[in-house]
Amino acid sequence: MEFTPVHSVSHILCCLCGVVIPSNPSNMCVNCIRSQVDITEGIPKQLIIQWCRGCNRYLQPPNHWAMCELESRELLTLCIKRIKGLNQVKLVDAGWVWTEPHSRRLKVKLTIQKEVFSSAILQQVFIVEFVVQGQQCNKCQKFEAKDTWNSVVQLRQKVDHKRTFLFLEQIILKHNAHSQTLNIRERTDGLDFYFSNKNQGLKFVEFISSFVPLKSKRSEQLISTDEQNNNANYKHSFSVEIVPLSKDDLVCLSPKVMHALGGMGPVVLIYKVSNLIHVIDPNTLQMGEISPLLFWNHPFRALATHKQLVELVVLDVTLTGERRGKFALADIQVARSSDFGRNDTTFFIRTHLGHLFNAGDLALGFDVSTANMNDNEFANIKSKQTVPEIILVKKTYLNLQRHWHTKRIDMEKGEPQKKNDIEAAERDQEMFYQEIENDPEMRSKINLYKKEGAAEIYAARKKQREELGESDDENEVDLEDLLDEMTLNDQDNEEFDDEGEDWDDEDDDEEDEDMDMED
Amino acid sequence: MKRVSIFQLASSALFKGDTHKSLEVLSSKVHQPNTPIYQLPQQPAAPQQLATPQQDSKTSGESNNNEFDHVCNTCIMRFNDRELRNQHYRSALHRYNIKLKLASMTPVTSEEFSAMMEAAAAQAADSSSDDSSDYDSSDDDNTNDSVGDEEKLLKRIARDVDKIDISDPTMQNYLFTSANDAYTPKLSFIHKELKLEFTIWRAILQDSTTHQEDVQLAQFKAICTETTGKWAILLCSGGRFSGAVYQLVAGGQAPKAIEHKTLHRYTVRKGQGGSQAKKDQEGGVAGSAGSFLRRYNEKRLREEVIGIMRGWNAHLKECKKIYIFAPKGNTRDILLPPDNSGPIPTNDPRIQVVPFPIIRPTFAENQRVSNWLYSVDIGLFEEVPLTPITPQQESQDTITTTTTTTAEPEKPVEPTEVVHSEYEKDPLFEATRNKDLDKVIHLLEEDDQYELPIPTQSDSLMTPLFIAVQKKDFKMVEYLVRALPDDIDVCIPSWHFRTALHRAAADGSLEIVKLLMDNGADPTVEGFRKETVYEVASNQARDLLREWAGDHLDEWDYLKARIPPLTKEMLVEREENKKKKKKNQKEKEKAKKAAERQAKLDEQQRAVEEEKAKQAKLAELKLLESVKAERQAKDSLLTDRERRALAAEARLGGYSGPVKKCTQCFTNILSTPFERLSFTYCSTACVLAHKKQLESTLDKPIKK
Amino acid sequence: MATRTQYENSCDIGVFSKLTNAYCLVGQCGSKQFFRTFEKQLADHIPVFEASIAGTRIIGRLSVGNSKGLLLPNTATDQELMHIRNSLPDSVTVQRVEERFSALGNCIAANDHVAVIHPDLDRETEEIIADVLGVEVFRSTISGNVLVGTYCAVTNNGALVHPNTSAEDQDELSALFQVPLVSGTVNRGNECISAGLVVNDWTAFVGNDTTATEISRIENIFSLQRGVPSNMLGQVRDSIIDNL
Repeated sequence: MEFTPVHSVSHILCCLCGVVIPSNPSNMCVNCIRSQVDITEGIPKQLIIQWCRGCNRYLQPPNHWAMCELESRELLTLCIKRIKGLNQVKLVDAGWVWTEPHSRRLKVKLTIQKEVFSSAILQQVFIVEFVVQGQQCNKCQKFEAKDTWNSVVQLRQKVDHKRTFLFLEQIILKHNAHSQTLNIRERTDGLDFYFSNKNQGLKFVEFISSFVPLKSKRSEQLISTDEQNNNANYKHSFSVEIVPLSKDDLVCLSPKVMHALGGMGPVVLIYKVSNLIHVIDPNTLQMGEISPLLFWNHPFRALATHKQLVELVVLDVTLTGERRGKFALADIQVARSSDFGRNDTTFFIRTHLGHLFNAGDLALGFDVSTANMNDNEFANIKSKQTVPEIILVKKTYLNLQRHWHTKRIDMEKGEPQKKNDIEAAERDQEMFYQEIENDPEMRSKINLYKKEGAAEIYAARKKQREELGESDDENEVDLEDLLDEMTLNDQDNEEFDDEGEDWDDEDDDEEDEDMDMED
Repeated sequence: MKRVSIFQLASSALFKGDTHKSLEVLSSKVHQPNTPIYQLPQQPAAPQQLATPQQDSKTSGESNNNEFDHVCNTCIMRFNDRELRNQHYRSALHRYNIKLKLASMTPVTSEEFSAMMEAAAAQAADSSSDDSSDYDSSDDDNTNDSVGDEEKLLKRIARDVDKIDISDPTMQNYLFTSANDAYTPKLSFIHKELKLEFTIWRAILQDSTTHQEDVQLAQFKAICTETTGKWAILLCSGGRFSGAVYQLVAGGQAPKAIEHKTLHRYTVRKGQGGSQAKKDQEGGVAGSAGSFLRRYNEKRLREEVIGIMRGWNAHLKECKKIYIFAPKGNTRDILLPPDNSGPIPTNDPRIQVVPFPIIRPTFAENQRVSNWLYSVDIGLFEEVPLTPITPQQESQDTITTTTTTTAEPEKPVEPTEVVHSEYEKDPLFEATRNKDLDKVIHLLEEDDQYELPIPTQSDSLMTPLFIAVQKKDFKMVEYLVRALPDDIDVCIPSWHFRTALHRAAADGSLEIVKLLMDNGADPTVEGFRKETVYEVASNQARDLLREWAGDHLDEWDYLKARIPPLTKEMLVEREENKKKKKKNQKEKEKAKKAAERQAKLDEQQRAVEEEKAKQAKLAELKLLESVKAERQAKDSLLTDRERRALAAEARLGGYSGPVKKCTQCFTNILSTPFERLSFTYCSTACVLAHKKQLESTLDKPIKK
Repeated sequence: MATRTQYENSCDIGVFSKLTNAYCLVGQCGSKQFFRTFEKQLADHIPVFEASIAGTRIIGRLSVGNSKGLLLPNTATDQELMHIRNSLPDSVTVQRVEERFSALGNCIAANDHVAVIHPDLDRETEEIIADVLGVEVFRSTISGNVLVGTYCAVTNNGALVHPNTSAEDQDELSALFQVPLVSGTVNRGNECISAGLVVNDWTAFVGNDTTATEISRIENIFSLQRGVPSNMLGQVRDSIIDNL
């Protein structure tokens, strides 16, 4: 009764053309399915892709510009992302079809699969053509259109050195505050920052004013008006003048300022410049802060600046025991280095830097006794009361090779530079570096980066210092505080790294905080 | 396969007469296929070969001069006569085979089918009482008289077929065995004469951890023949608790729940991803209203569950087994508080975990758990070994066809305390076992008559050193290493042919490991499964071994021993790394503290501002109070009717919710507030003022 | 001959109509186009009328019948039963079946002599089918599918089955129905045969999507070319049965 079963596949006629086929879910032969459904339906066959001629980058919507070679994987990804409707199908393969570069056409060969009817999967190969269309990227646009600025911040300091600007440059770099500038240009006595709108300029001025004492003035120039809409188009300039004083300047306070500061001075030394001017009387350790407002009401000039500094040798130090902050009052016997071997002139002076000096140290100071000061106030004082002969300003340290460096902002040079200027700039840079080196507080405000082989240089410094019998410098820049510099082989990439987002983020955060406070 | 309550076995023929010896525990050695109906389709036979006989029959005219060949492809049968075929189509066999075919199984022949029917009929006779309880609601026609017994049985078998999950790919290739190794929750017994297999949950045995087959068997029988007995099932998950105490009812009826209770408390917050009690324990206490509710309810649930269990204390004491299901640590704590404050101590030997997953704890689920636990699956048993499917299995052990061997040779049984033979009862071994160092010294050094024991064929080799290591008796080891230096690298067959060093390393007895290594124990010796000492060692022992290897670099071939040596330098380096890490952490903490201090300052400032606002508010409130007083004075002058009307008006017009405050001036808003964004204001003036204020703060530049 | 039609934009006309040699039921329909198509072809020979079962229009799937009888599911109301009974000739028995499966049309495939049914139908239903329709009843499947009524259309002249049915199964079914049988599709490759096709011994209606190839196959197997209702009823089949 039993038999062995036979299993055979049933054959049916294709429902369209009547060809005998093994039954399948759609019950059509492959050709009929092909003719019935186009799985590439809904996928555009020709697309436009934006390309920036200036920097050879392609637009990746919404606003990223990606650097790609022709026929590269990256470009392929970018192109495929542009093709809409690919999410409806399964992409099996994609590749380039060669085209002449100057044809401005890119051809991508795609192989897709899609389930048609109930469970029949169809595969098809087709070509999508991309027309390469030129469009300038924001960066190039900014670069090309120079006069698109709407506001300019003219930062000026009328002094004979650039240290303040070097410091500001570092601060700007650290906070990425220059991300929205269209251009930065060097000018005599200062810098110009160009922005695309007023608010950015305003924000930048506020930013700067939290670091240095300044006064700012806004002015606007009418470019055009639309009477119908009551719209006006202005260009804004912020004239920002930084107080022309810097650290280690000697000043003679006018009576009014003197009174405002509680009768200190009048000959005082600037020991720090933040958004205020911090002064100290080296004789009494009395300290005071001059706000920019006070300064601009009663402006004065520095009695002596870094140029007048002379080198001195400390012969003897007697601490009086009086201290204020880090400063310690001391009686010091000094002699001018230039006098060594010529005469035995020594000075007994009081200084606020007692904590720094030991006998035998080298120091820099103002030689008030011999200096020729062109200052009315000073002349008045000199006639009335005695003025210290020497005012010590700072200690000189060994000048060793540095294991760190800083970054610079790219800025446009104003006038063609002369040899003098370059030398001056180098001198300023060196002084700025020394200042950083000797002032940890200042250091904390900016970013320092490791030089190549920082560890070795650091070790060498240490060794050298030991050889010279110096104790460890408390101001030494620790290796751990330095940042590793990001090094990219491809310089272009870094350059084209778009809008710094830090700045925007901070902005948002601040807003959030404000909202929180109100809640 | 048929599932019946375990207590029904008592009345069956199984335990009557002298058949006890025919029951046996199914050892892991034998792979047995399930009943034939579970056999999955074989490879389709080659079609060409098979087509010929059919054609032959056609051509030879055997097909009764009919143009149609009477075949049934479902049952793979051929008929000469149309009448016969029609009859076949009406038969139960055909219907059964259709079911099989739909489940992609090979059809059964009529002989097989009739044999199956007989077996099913026999089972039905055994368990007719159980029918109604097991399969009551689903088939109404069971009770229908017009349907024969055959139909009924067919249905049951068909249902079993339905239960097979053919979507499971593993099912299609393998036949499952329920081997009795320690890891499966089920235990199988076979009845050698009847060729039946009984599968029960291991958890219901009195001692569920035992590996001794006679004990298992005895306990199985004890359960089957039990007439009085209680057990409790406590299920708790997701804020639900269901507990019940069951008692056997005499006469083979289903056990009855003598106590049961189901609770539900809100402890799992919707959309919050499960129970959050864990978060509370970690210190992050959520402060929302919902979490307060949850915490309250968690506490209540705990109290109530304990209360219920206290109430059942008398029953619980009598229970032979307590089955609990608590999927998470803290739900388990609800049932068994870790401080033993509950009625059931945490280390109660009666506690068993429900060995299968359950759904939401309800009484119905509780009953299902009880029924399933105390049920036995009966299936046919065939002693046909399957060829192993994976090469791994092949290499592991050879397959014996019978189950008659008493011992389980490769079971991972620890060398137990049980002493088997004369050899193992030797005084030396006894002494080491008892940690009696003096006696051992006496035996080995002073007693002239004493000779080291020699194992007979049936005994497995044992050394006193190994026993000492096993007992972690350091002094003894120290002595034995010196006294019997040859024993140090002996592989002990009863412990996977591993050495004493293996044992010490696996136990983590660091001192002993060091001692053995110092005395020249070989770390390269491999056990039965090619495992070296290092591979079986515990974590600390591994470190020790590495350090030792670092100190004695040339002693052994560490490549062979698979020990990566840890030298002094590496140690130092590791220490330094640790220190560095610590330092970094400290610095981070410092920075954090500074930030906190800053935050505190801000806080203080804010507090001062708030104080100011409060003062303003107080003044406002005073004003309101006076207004109210005035109103009341006025009201007292009105008539009752007027007063009622006023009250109604106030009710309708007034804002009944909490009093809103103006965001700008902090006064209470009496009428409908003005709203902008999420703020509320008392007047348009305030709206404008606050808007301006907001804008100015938004535009405020960054200050560093 | 086969006529293409559609029911309110749906090509599954078999769902909404029931056609046998003795009567034709059409589901109630807003536009009368569908009904008229049937009327035009059939009114001269057999009664064509609109009906509903259990308040629904899917009468083709809920009922099963042949020239001798019509079976309705237990969901059919008394009123509907009365209406249908009144509209049908007296020779046709109408019976309601108490059966778990209410879509009788999907579970049963029948011609005037043989019915193949879903394997899980009740014994009682099986008997009723045999009595009312006057057929031999076989439980079977079509290409591993229990819904035999859905995947098969059968008349006294031939049968069309699910395209996946293997040759052997086709032989078996052909032997059961005692008619020539082929596998095929309707409605442009649809395998739910009886959803897209209603057929009796002399005419057929197919869904609008049905291709010419499919129609030609249908006409071939159901011998529809003659186009006239012949009194072949019993002519061929009875002789064969007698023969057996």
